[in-house]
Formats: sequence, structure tokens, C-alpha cells
Amino acid sequence: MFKRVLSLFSKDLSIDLGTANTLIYMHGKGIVLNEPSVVAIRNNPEGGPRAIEAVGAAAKGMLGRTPANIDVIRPLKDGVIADFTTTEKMLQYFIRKVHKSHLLRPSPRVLVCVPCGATQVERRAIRESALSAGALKTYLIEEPLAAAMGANLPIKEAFGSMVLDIGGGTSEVAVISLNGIVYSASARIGGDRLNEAIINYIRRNYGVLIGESTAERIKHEIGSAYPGKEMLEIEVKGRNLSEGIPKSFSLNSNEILEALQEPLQGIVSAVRTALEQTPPELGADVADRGIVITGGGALLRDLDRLIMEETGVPVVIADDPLTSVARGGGRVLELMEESGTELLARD
Amino acid sequence: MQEDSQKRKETIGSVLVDARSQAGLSQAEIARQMNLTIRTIQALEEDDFDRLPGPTYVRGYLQTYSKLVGQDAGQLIRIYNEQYPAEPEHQPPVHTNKRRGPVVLLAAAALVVLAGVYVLLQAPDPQSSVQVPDLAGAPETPVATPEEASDPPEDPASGQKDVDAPVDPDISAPILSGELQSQERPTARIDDNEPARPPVEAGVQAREQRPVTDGQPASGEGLEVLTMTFMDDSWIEVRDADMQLIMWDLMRSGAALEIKGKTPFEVLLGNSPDVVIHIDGKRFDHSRYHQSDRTSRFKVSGSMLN
Repeated sequence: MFKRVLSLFSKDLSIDLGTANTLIYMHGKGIVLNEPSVVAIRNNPEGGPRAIEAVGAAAKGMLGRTPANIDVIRPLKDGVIADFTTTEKMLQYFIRKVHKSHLLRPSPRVLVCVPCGATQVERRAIRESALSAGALKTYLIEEPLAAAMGANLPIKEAFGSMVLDIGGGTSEVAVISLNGIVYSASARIGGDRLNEAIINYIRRNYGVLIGESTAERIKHEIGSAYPGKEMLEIEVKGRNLSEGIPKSFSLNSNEILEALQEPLQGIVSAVRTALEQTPPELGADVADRGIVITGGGALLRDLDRLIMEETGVPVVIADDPLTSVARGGGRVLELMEESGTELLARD
Repeated sequence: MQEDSQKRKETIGSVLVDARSQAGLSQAEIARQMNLTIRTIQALEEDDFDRLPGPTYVRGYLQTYSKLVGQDAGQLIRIYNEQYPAEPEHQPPVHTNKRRGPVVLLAAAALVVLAGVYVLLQAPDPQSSVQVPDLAGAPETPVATPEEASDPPEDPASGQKDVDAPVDPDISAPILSGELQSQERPTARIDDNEPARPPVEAGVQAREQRPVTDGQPASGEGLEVLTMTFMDDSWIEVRDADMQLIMWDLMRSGAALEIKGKTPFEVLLGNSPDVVIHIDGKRFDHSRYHQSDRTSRFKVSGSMLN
């Protein structure tokens, strides 16, 4: 009961618990937190308890730059919880952070987005983790549905809307009509796989090892999914594998395009499969209106063009694709009192 | 003539038509490249947005169209947003929840009353005032309550030497006791507030999250030693009878832990099947509490073994 009383002082939250970033949408305020899903843990050399050193952006800054007694952990893998306790602590930190002006410990109603490919055990872990982090009540929603809500798609209508949400760990594709998912699929390809592909390409072709943060910077600055008119270049530093010393070299966007081919083809084939599996009436709606891309992956240059060329279907990128899922979850929470729990996922 | 041209440029459609003519592309060519029908392209160029599916799609089409004809998409989308403002999803009325206003006030009043009752209940209780300094100050020599005096407790040292006890005193020596853990956590940023959690709140929270396991002894006032041995990495959380969080940590495989405190302890384990538990040297089988996700939460005290 005390927790219920506390909930009156907390605002409902929608959490996009992503492999790469966690976003929190607060009822009445919009997106209040957007931090990397990273936790740095300091090991006690005397065998004592381990302590949380940093969470979020501060922890991500430490990635690849830590001494032996600090572990930087990404507690989510492929969109689901890989390290339960660290996820719980991270969520606890984030929930408190967005309620920092409150004197009492926050106890909000929380809606968490889950990949549609998540198993029952994975869903339960997410639910338990949010409850242990202080939530009064936890609701789950399938990510593509939240993404479609966040992108303002007319999902209530008897029309097919296809949404492709490319996150850090997974890409989710779904066809939605009349507030429900007609077809959904989840491919374990996302921003992380793109980074990995860049690291592997550079190691193979230049004999140089680069870190994850550098790979991500390359992807953001010159990464593209389709050959463009202009060629971009970037200066990169890494460790020469044969000589063992740091080496500086330049990369161009065509090379990165080549490096990203394999994971991108994985995403394209997931979309193709979805189009094949979609009932014909809804497929016709999608072919008429187009596929909407959300998630951080949508920011990859010319990704829409690649999917357009490969599938022959129009493609549009949602406004502010990074926050679509969290905003969509927030809208579901706001609508929950009017329209009930129709949109929520079952365990 | 110049005025006419100025007026035309104010609409999205006219900007698109001009840019398309300059690029030397036909409507059919644009439609082919965007995988859209010519009717959709015509609707865009005639500013007839009601024929199009919805704002998200229209903004997307404008973006792609602009890119194809080398136009600044941002400018067109700005004009579109002025004409068709986005749904005010970012600004839902901040205090729309009217029912919450008076409820919050009532809740605040109820809290004050509850806090008062709690303070009144706690203050005259001589037992708790004795127990707390006892727990923190001299854990090795617990003050015997009248019940304990009539039934002499087992020597703690003999408990340590028990053949079944999995923890070698030498191994457990550097391990911090529960009380120390709760005080020494300066670097844990997210736990700064943890010890300040009011006991009432903690107790209620625990009861709400999971049903309390059956068969709990009502009393269990004495200090008992909880020993845990970890066969694999596991998260642990231990609360004492007062629902104070006395220990939480990620324990590594092979580690052992000894906690002394007022029972029943409430224990949460992240990897339950790989933890061996003894209470006052006696093995406690917690397998019936294992959840499908390998966690478990239960209460344990020496009297449960009898």
C-alpha cells in the first residue's frame, strides 16, 4: 500500500530498454533520458563487494579505456537482458535520475518495450527487473507496435502499416492493422553488428585493430547503405596488428559501404520475408504507402534508398527515429486509461 | 508577374515542381524512383495532402522527393509542419490527471499520519532500542533475551567449527559482515539513498512484490548466522527482520559469505540453484523457492529448520 501511495508522487514512464541506448519518456514531459545502456563496475581488489562506478554516458566513455579492476558491462544483448542484476541496477539508477527532484523514492507505473522475438523467460526477466528497480506495476509492449505509435502511424485503421525498427541489437519488422500485429519478425542484426562489420573489415584489409567506439564514429560520420554521389573520408587511428604500434590511416565511404553489405543484406532479407508473409490486402497497403523505418539504424545514410531499391516499395524515415519507440510507449500509457490494455503484450 | 512567382514559391507543391523542372525530371520518373504512383506525386505537387496517407508518410515523401531534385527538405517540411502541425504528443497537458490532485493531498496527509503512528510505535519499544546498537556494535556477543537465557544458545564459535559448515573461518575472515556492507558503499552512486530507505516502505515493498512465503515464524528475534557458498556467480540481497537491507552484491563463483543479524532474513538470489545456504551451521534447502528464471526470494531463520 505504501508503494501505491508513493506512486502518486511518481510519473508514469515508458522505457525503451535497448541494447545500445535506454530512453525514458515521462508522462507529461516527453523524453527525459537518453543514455547508453552501459554500466561500469569497480571490482574490489581485496575480494569485497563490487561497486557501481558509473552508469550511462559516463560508463560508455570508459568503454575500452578501463584498468583491470573496472569492468564496463553492456547488460543487454540482442534486445534482451543478458545480465539481470546489472540491468536492474541500471534501471534503478535511471528511474531515480528522472525523478531526482522527488524527495520520496519513485514508484511509477512503467511500460517497457520488448522485442517481438523475446521468449517468455526473457519477457519475465524484463518485467522482474523493472519491478525490482522500483516500479509499482510493469507493462510490456512489443517494440514495433510502440515504434508505430511513436511514428504516428494510423494503426487503428483497417490498413496495413509496415514498420522496421532497427535498434542496437535487433531489427524488428512488423505489419500492423487494427491495433494489432499481423506479422512480425525479429532479426538479430542491429547497430552493433554494423560496428562489428566495420571492425572486421579494417582488420582484414588494413591489418589494424580499432575499438568499438571508433567503429561507431566511422559509422556515424561516413557510413552509408547505398552508393552516393559524393565520397566522404575520415582519419582513423588503430593498432597495427603486425607491428603492434598505433597507426593512422584514412577510410572512405565506399569502403564502409562494402564493409556493411553483409549485415545490411540481412536486414533487407528480413523485410523481403515480411513482405512475402504479409496477407495480400495488407501487402497492397504497404506497397501503396510504404515502409516506415524507426530506431537508430534509420540514421544510416541512404538506408531508405537501399530498401527502396531492393524491395520496390516506398520507404520513409520516421521523424526523430531514435525516440519513436519510447514516445510510442508513452502514448500507449497515456491512452491506457481510455482504451485499456489492448495494445499491451502478454507474457 | 514577380509577385505571382513569389506567391507560387510559398507552397510546397510549387517548390517541388520548380525543382523537378530544373533537374529535368518528369513526374513519372520521380514516381518510379520513389516507388510511388503518379497520383501520389501529383497530390504532392498540387498540395493536396488530404489525398495522402498521413503526416508521417507525407514528411517522408517530401524528404525523398527533395533529395532526388536537390532541394532542401528541411525548408519544405517546415512549411508543411506550419500548415499541418504535428499532434501535440510532446505536450500532453502536464496536469491532466485531475483525479490525482486531491488524491495527492490526501496521500500526503495520510503519510504524515502514518509517519506519526510509526514514530509512536517505535519510540517506546525497549527491545528494538537494545537490539540495534547490539547488532552494530558487538556482533560476537549478542545480548540474551529472557527466552534465550532460559534456553542457552549454541556457542557461535562451535557453529563455525561444525563439520557441515561450508565456510572455513580463514576464508571468510576477509569477507565483510552484513552490517559493514551497508555502511561502506561510498562509490556505489546508485545506492547512495539505499540505507536511508524508511523501514516501513521497504517492508511494504517486499510484501507487494512477492507473496510472503508461508510458514514464517512470527518471532525469530535472536541473532543468527547466515552462511552462503556460491558455486557460480550470483546476485544476492539480504534483509534482516527489520527489513533493513544489510547486504547486496554480485558474488563470484567460489566465494563464501557470512552474515549475522536478526532473523528471519529475507533473501533474494539471482542464481538460486548454485547457492548453498546454512543457517547457524545447519543446511537450509531452498530448492522449493527456485523460479524458472533461476531467481528465488524467501525468508529463512533457524527456527524454520526445527
